[in-house]
This record gives sequence, structure tokens and C-alpha cells, in this order.
Amino acid sequence: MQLKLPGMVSTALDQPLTGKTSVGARAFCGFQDCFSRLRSMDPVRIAVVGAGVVGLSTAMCVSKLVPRCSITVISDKFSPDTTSDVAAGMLIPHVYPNTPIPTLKQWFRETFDHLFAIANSAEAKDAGVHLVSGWQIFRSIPAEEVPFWADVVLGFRKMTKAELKKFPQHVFGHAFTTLKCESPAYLPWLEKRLKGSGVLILTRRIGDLWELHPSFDVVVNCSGLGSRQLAQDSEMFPMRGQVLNVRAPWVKHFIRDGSGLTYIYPGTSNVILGGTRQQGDWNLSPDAEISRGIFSRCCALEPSLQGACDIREKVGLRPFRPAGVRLQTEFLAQDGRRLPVVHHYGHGSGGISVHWGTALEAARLVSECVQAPRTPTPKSNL
Amino acid sequence: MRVVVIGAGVIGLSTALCIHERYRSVLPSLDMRVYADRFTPLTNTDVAAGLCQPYLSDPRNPQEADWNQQTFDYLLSHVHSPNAANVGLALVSGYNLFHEAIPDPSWKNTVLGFRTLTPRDLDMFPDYSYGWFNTSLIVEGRRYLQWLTERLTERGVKFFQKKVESFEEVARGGADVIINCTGVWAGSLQPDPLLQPGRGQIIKVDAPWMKHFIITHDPEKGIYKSPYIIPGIQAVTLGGIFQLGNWSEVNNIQDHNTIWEGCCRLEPTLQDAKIVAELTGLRPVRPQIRLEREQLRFASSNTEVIHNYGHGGYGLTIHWGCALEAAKLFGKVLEERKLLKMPPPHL
Repeated sequence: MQLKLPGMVSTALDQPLTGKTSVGARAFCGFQDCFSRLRSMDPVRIAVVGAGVVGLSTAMCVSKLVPRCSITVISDKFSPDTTSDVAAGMLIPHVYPNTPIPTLKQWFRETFDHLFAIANSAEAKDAGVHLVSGWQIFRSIPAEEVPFWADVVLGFRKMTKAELKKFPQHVFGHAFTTLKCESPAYLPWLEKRLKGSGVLILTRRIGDLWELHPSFDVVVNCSGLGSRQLAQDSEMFPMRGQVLNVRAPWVKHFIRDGSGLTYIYPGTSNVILGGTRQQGDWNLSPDAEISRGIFSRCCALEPSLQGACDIREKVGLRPFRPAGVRLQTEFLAQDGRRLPVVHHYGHGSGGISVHWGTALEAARLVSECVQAPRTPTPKSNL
Repeated sequence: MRVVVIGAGVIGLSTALCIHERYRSVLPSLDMRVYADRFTPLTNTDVAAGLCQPYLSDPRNPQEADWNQQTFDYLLSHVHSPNAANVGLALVSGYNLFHEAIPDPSWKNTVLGFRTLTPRDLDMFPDYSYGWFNTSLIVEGRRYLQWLTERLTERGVKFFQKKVESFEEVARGGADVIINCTGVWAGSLQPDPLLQPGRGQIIKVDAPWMKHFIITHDPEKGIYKSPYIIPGIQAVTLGGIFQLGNWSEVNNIQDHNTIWEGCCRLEPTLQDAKIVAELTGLRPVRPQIRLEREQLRFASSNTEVIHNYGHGGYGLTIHWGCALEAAKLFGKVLEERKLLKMPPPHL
């Protein structure tokens, strides 16, 4: 029998969670002390909160790295309603201020290699991953002419004068080939593979991580902007981005203005035009004035876009954390209960570019958590 | 002055437009017509993938290299306009793949961003060990022909669907100048043993994730006999067939299999692609393009013929340079006949 403590929000998790997995998890109707479970032969029950690119890829990495575990992905939103779904998914990394460049480069490289293998396989179409070439252009020569990720993407070089003629307002540029990872396809593809490995997928809104106790032994928090509440991380704020999805199938190259504010990213079924960076703005409704501005800025770079049709506006709230990505284990404690939580959130603008690298790191943290012996806490009196 | 252009593929229509643009203002009596038995979408131009890329080896006639360059520069200047997609133009980048190292092509500085492939690039193509990457243009045959037709119609040029049996018939009908753009069928108007069909077959698929062209080369087999994948505006063209002397305009199942297997091996993601069309075209193959004047005499008058045919598999690649040259020849005709009221426009 589960004890309902005051202040706990009643959710369906109060009901026994039953399900079969190929790893052999039993039905949950739990009263167990999670740490005796961790030392027993029973599979470790892991909850991954969040089903955006970070949540699903973390669940995937955990399933590969951590033996004898049963994983449940829990989220109120799934593709196509996640923040990831709004993003164009271009593999061009962003810099996180407190993250050392070698770490960032490793995350980016791991993500690039992972997606590159998919792009060159028969899975590419289903997974929504493909190569695209293009240009990053600057109105003045940037301080750093060769970015840290130049040797991770393909064929990186400076643009020639002839190439720059296309952009009369710009004096310098990079030409390279990178990957586009489209979440509306990638997330369902990951979900399908997760289900195939026995991972459970649950649609639930979690208001408090303690709801997951004691049904789960470890929680992996991939809730993005939701961590403002779930992890009580008041530093998290949205960096609002508005984009236009248009039909313009003749556009085969990406174009990104060096500041990152204006971009044209051609994908499988549409071209994404962007964008904005509005700090602290929670408004999910598109703004018509902003849309006009985006369209105008993009047409200035690619005049043929004036022939674009089927224009749709989208808004996403990037999960911005000033300190950078939080990859950290926290042992929650309350009234004698303990709950290990691996935090994995705060990717801001760069989630898709580094998702696999950070997911591998998160999986390592989960693995450490599962393996480390701990002093058991006394059973609470029921 | 009646000018009849025979042929409504890219060569006929672009030559017509080029001449009309340059001479209508100085030759008010210019009455131009296009005669053809086939119009878009039934011409060979409509079958072409439309990638602007000359052959690897230098052309027998060095002027052709200039015409290729002029065409590329002309199309490049239009690809940056708001109207580009309406004209059928787009920039596209991609790969040329080889089994061994070869010298850079003479057009390496015409295209944009030319470079040789790095080992990581080549990892994507295990059957090949050397290659190039560059940015070029596609001109979608069908859209471009429609655009040319609109421009010509605006200018009052008239189109007639008819099968011309002889130059004489056209001359006796009142033509002063005939522009012969009959492509692979030029031999029916005047025998030309140098002209042969280079039959090609292509499969068009829906594969919008393909953003690059991939062209493989096998020097032993020859041009266009090795798989190629060329994305267009709406569909992706798969090809790799070149059969000299084959006049069949019917799709062939073995050729289909050759194309499909070759292209899927090159790019496994194509296995999921839906086929939207399959077409056969006859490239007008000739050791070099016939672009020259000829005077024919019927009854008591001279008829000027300007031949512009034999563009092989590079018609779209070279069309505008040839049109400019044909327009120059036309200008000479006018000068000789003292028809110009003003000095000819600077070409």
C-alpha cells in the first residue's frame, strides 16, 4: 500500500503501475525501500521524465548502458508537441558559457557521429536525419575565423569571393556540410525503438518528482523548461523562438547569419525560417509582426523565398539555463525517504546539436547511481 | 523579316528568345515563329535532370568551354532573383565520384566552391576512392521551357505545332531565316552522319531529404553510364543509361533495374523512395555542336539557315552560350542584307 503524504498531488501513479517488459520487471505496487532493490537482483526501476529529444535519447542511452533496468518514459507532451519539434534540428553547436570547449566538442562529435551513421543507413528517412550543405555568413570578420567544431562537420572551409557574391551585405563566410535532425520524425523513431527494447511510455503530467517515489528507484529529469518547477531551478527561463515553416523545395542549402538570429534551414518537407531570441517570454502564440520580420530578413538573404507558400508559424520556448546544461546527480531527501535524481536539462538553443553526447553522460551518471552501494534508510512505519 | 525557329526544346526556345531580345528593337519588321512537332512536356529537354555540368574532358571545339561558362554565369545571375523558382532555377551542391584520382576539370572555377573530397566525405561512398564537391545549378527543363514560352508569347512570338518535312517547305512558306534547333532529329531535314541518338532513361522519385547531387564516373564505361542522382525542385532524378544508336523512346525494364540497383547501392535511403515517373529521352550526340550558318537556295531566293543542334547530354548546360552565338550569326545575316537601321546591339 502506498502512503499518501500531505501535499502530494494525487496522480495515476498512486494506482499500481503494471506492465511487462522484456527485462522482466514485475508489477509495481510498491512499498519497497528503493535501496534494497538496488542491491537485489530485481531490475532497477528508472523513470525518465520528459519526452523531447533529451528525454528519449537519454532513455535510449540508459537502456544500452545500464544492465537489468526497466525504464519508463513519463511526459505530458510527446512529439509533435514538444519544444524539440519546433526546432529545425541543424547540427551547429552553441557555446555554453561554463562548459569547457573540449567537453562541448566531445558532445557535439558524439552526436554528429551518431546521426551521421543514421543518415547513411536505410533508417535515414524514418529517423528524419539527412545531410545538408550551406553557408554561415558574417557582416564583419568574426573574431574566431575557424570555430571549434570545424573539423567535426564535413568539408569546412572559408567561402570564396564568388560564393560571397550571393550575399552582398556579408564579407566573410563558412561553407560546410552538416546534418539536420528533424524531431517530428526522429522522436517517433526513437520512441518506436524504445518500445522495441521494452521501455514503457506513459503520458502523465508530473508536478513534483516525489510523485515518482516509491514506484521508481532512480529518476532522470529531462524536463527542460519544466525543471523550473520540478527541480525548483529558478535560474531556468524560456528563450522564446518563433519560426516559419514554408514550402520552398528549390532551396537546397542552409543559410545562417553569423549572429544566429536569421536562418534558412531546408528540411525534408519544408524550409524553416527564423528566428527570434526573446528572453523570459513565455508566450506560445505566434506574433504576426514578428513573422513579417522573419520573412523579410530571410528573403533578404534568399530572394527566391518570395515564392514560398504554405506558411505556418511556430513558437518554441528554449530551455535556457545561464550556467549551461545541468548534468548532475542529486539525492532528494524528505521525511526519511530518499530519491536519487539525475538531472539532465538546460540545453537552451543547442539541444539537438549535443543531445547524444549529453545523453551518454547522463546514462553514465545513472549507471554510477545504480551501482554505488548506499546505507539503506530505515523502513517508514506504515 | 520572317524568322522561323524549328524545334521547341531548350535550344529552340532559348535561341528564339535571345534573338528576339536583341534584334526586335532594331528590326521592327521581325516576325518570329516557332515550328515544332513536340512541345513541353514531350521534348527531350523535359527528360533531362537539368544539372549544369559540362563533360569532364575538354570539348573538341574550345568555343564550347566558353559557351558553358557563359551559360553558367547567366543562370547564376538569375538564381539570386525572387523569380528564380519560377524560372526553374536552383543552386545545388554535390559530389562527383571516381575510382581513382583524376585531374581537376577545366570548369572548376566556373562552378562554386570546388574542392576535392576528404577521407570523411569518401566514407559515405565505399565504392569510390576519389572525388569532388562543388556547388552548381539545376535548370528544370519543364519549368524553364514553360518560362521561355511565356516570355516569347509576351513578345508576340507565335507557336505552331507541325512536323517540318524540309527546309524548302519552310523557305517557300516565306521564311527569310531558319534557325534549325531540331536536336536529335536534325538528320531528317539534312543528313548528318555525325549525329546519333544517345538514349537515356531516368526514374523520378519522391525523396525530398536528398539535397545533394551524386554523380559517379566509370571511365571504362563512358559518360552517363554510371549511376547518378540529381535532386530537382520537386523530384529526384535517378539515371545511368547512355546507349549510342538506340532510337527507342520506350522505357526498358532492364534499364530500369540497372538504374534502380545502381542508385540504391550508391544511396541506400532511396529504397524508401516512391517512384513518380519514368522517362526516356534521346540525347542529340555529336562530336561537337553544329552551330554555323548555311545558305540554301530555293527557287530564286537565298534562305539563311543557322544550325544549332547536337548538344548531346549537355544542352541545358550550354544552351545560353549557344543562343548568344546564334544571335551573333543572325546579326551578321542582317548586316549582310543591310537590314539594320542602327548599329547592331552590343552582344
